[in-house]
Amino acid sequence: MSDNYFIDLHPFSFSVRTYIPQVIQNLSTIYGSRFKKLSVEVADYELSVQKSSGLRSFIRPQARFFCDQQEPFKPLSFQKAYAFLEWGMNWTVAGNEVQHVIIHSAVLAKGNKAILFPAPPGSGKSTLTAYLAHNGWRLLSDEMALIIPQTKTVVPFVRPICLKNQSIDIAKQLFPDGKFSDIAKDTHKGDVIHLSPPDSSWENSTNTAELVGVVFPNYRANQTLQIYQLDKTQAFMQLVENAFNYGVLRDVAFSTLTNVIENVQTFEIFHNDLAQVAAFLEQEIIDYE
Amino acid sequence: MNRFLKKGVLVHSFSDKSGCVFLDLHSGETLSVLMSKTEIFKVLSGEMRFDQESEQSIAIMSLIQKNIFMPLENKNTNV
Amino acid sequence: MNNLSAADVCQAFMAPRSTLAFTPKKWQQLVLILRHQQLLACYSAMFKQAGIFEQLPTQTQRHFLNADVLAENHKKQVLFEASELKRELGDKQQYLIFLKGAGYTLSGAQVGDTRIYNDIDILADKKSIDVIEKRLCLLGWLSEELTEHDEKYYRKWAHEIPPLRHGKRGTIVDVHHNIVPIISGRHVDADKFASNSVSTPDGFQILSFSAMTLHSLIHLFFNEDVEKGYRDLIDIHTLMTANNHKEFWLPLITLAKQTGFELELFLACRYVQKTFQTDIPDFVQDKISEFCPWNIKFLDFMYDKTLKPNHPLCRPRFFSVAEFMILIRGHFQKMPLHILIYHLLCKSGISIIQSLFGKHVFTKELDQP
Repeated sequence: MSDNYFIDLHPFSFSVRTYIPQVIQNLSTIYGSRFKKLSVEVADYELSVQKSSGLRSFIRPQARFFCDQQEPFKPLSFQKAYAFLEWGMNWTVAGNEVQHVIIHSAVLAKGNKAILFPAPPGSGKSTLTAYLAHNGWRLLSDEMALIIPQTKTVVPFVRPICLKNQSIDIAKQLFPDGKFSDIAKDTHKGDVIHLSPPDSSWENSTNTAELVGVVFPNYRANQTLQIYQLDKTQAFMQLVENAFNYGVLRDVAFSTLTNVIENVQTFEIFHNDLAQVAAFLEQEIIDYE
Repeated sequence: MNRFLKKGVLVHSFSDKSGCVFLDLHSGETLSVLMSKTEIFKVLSGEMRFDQESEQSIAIMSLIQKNIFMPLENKNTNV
Repeated sequence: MNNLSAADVCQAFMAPRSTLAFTPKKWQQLVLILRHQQLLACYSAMFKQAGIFEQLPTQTQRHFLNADVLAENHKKQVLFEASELKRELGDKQQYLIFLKGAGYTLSGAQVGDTRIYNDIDILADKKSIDVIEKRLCLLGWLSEELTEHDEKYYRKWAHEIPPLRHGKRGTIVDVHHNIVPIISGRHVDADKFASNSVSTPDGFQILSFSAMTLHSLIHLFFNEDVEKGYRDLIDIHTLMTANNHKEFWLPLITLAKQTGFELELFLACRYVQKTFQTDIPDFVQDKISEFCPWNIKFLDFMYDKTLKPNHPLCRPRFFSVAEFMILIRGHFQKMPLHILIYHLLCKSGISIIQSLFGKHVFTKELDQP
């Protein structure tokens, strides 16, 4: 009944077992040729999304997520099945992969120079990410920045951009031709949609980039562009707070992140205009000598 | 109040003099103090004083409480 | 296409070089199985010892390296937690002995080198349990959420107070005052085990290797939980191999006799030999052969199936049947029949409801991503 699929998401790969049409459809939309039926490929992790069984599945159907036979989360309502898989992929990587320091953050690059955008929910980071990705920047990741230990080098882990609530309408207006998933309603983050980045991001998914900046963006509707240079101690501590595997990597993570912070520019910005932010990033950070 | 850095603690003092960060390898905890390394050691040795209520004093006390800084008498004991 | 079998997985442990003929698919399956069984780090160390780690496919090496880092971090965390517990509980009881996984890690021996586990188990004297529980609660350790039935099982029938979880750090500690449930009729003087304890160089109390091995094999063969049976068998094999001398075997046999677990010792020796060809000296075999039970063929069937890697890819046929039989046998050894029936009815009642309404019908609010 369930079919096995394979998704090549450099530097990792997943097999996905599911028979839920909505999940298959969304995976196909978002990942294109990277998503296919499994034949001889060898995946790093075996994931599965299934409909829960029993009487309950008739009244309020639910989706269950499995990673390698483990079920780490309680089921979610069925219409969130695809989003559940995306979160499950994040969880799998964050919990198992310790060859890189992984920051909960977006990371985009112009050419070979990359900027990290760590941001708590509600900061408008994902809208900014979507804007930059469609305006000359390439997306290395929306949620998980992989830093090679003891370097400032980021390895791309290209995945769709996760947009929430008001950002959904903004993104649909800005990118009418964008490859969007279905909307997952009423998640703990509100309404959620996934947007596949443009082809240029996918085509460069094996090209690393060097960090030149760490920027904490904050969207404020009534706020024209305000830029604050962040002192390095605070920037470091915020990065630590946003690092998935800092606790596991300890001294390796400590020295990697102190080195990154010492050698990049660190800013906090408040804005309501994406184009202005892009201009600032390009002029003051990317082109900075 | 002479103190030294406990064994198994990594420290980094940022080049913009904004502060120091510490990683206690035993507990896995990371802490920060918004003072330069020189200033911290001046406070510990008594050369510099801050008001007890000040942020700097509170930060240093918290490092001492977490055993990041040990009293000099303990230097040769295994902690 | 050939799938990896349970025998292949065991063979990989016994003769690492046999894996050099694996296809990429078989390597992937091995990684999936080992990850599921929490044996990635164990096999990683074994491949390194055999000097063939660099010959493994790069993708496979990455998974083993990940496991190495996670295991190393786990050790540090346990050391920290154990230090904290020793400091917080120091003088409150007659003895405070770290058991099972924590005992392995604190011993510094090979058996603890790559071992990951979820809880920290401690043995303390019965009189001190209340004081310990109260002190831990004051320090921010909270009782895990349990159904009323399970809570009763823990306190009255089993040998533990319910597990305690640290409010901030999430570590779970199990405080035991006995090795087996009080009600099972197999009353074991916990002090007998406690008197077989030693101090590590860092000052932690753990069981001697003989007592540690006996405790492990009791846990495997007296309990009903064979979910990680293969891994537990590897532990026992590792302990026996690393301590293969008279000063280990004689106290082990003596303690087994004193505590009435000769059958379990016999079964452990039998199955490590069958699976790993563990070197068990003749004098030991002579001494324990009299403990061979009448129903050994039946036990062979059950354990032959369940002491193998338990992943859908390579699970032996009839695994579920064998597992169920062990469950019954395990419960039966722990409690008198009338209580067993009550316990199983409660558990099966819960299972029936779960299968009707979904597995998580009793789980409290949300552990969402």
